[in-house]
Amino acid sequence: MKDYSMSDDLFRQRAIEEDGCMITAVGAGLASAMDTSAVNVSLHQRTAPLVPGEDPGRPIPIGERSLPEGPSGTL
Amino acid sequence: MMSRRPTRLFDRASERIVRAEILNEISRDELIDIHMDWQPARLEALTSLRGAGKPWPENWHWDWGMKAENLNLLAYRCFAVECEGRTQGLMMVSTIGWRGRIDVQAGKPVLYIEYIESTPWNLAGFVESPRFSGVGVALIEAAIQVSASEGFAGRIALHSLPQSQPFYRRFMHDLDIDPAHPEKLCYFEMTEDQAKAFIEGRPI
Repeated sequence: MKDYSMSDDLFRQRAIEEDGCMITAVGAGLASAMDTSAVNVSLHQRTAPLVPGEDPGRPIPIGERSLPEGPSGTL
Repeated sequence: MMSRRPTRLFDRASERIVRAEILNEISRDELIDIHMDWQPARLEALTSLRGAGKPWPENWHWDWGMKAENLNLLAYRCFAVECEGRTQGLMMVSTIGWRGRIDVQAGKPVLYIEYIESTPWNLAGFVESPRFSGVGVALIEAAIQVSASEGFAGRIALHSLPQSQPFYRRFMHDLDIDPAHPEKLCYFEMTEDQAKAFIEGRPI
């Protein structure tokens, strides 16, 4: 099978081009399968629980904020 | 079972390539641990952005702990980039049920990237001086390798958030907004030839 590994020099070049830019992608399958209404909550509510059913613990004092307009990436 | 293989990242401070590892088959519990490791940095960065009146990245609220629930499904596999003892990026892929749309590979199986993200301290959208660069390159390289090992010849596909489209446009076909996607995101596909060009450094 072909070796799909790039050289260090090429990696360096591509990494410099990447330069901290966002690389986020959201799948169609999971996004449609999940309850997207869950994202329409405040940051306070959103970040506290890590595992469904567990005690969310102390509220995170970062204030209330609604999701920004436009695509945001489910979950 | 989890395995490791070498990769590298670019240390922006020293401007040197540093050794890193791709971790294969991240478990649900490990994903939750990684989320807990990232979350303080994410919140700290968001607090700074809010104080400065700057916009928040589109993935500000991502929760890999919740994404971990999907690892109970055999179709999904999760990979991590680790460097200096911490996870620097994550990717969840599916090897089942996705077919190419571009003419040259229409109907052929492709590796589909369900989620991909670099940790907040590596992203210019979160911090002023990102720590490492190349997390996306390392994960895309890993995705191509998984695609090849599955017999897909390096073919991969994903739906990009708007903030990330310039990154993928450099080396993948942009098929524009996908009306079938729940969030109407742009669909990108990498052909076998593009995968080779990405790895070999040829113009794409």
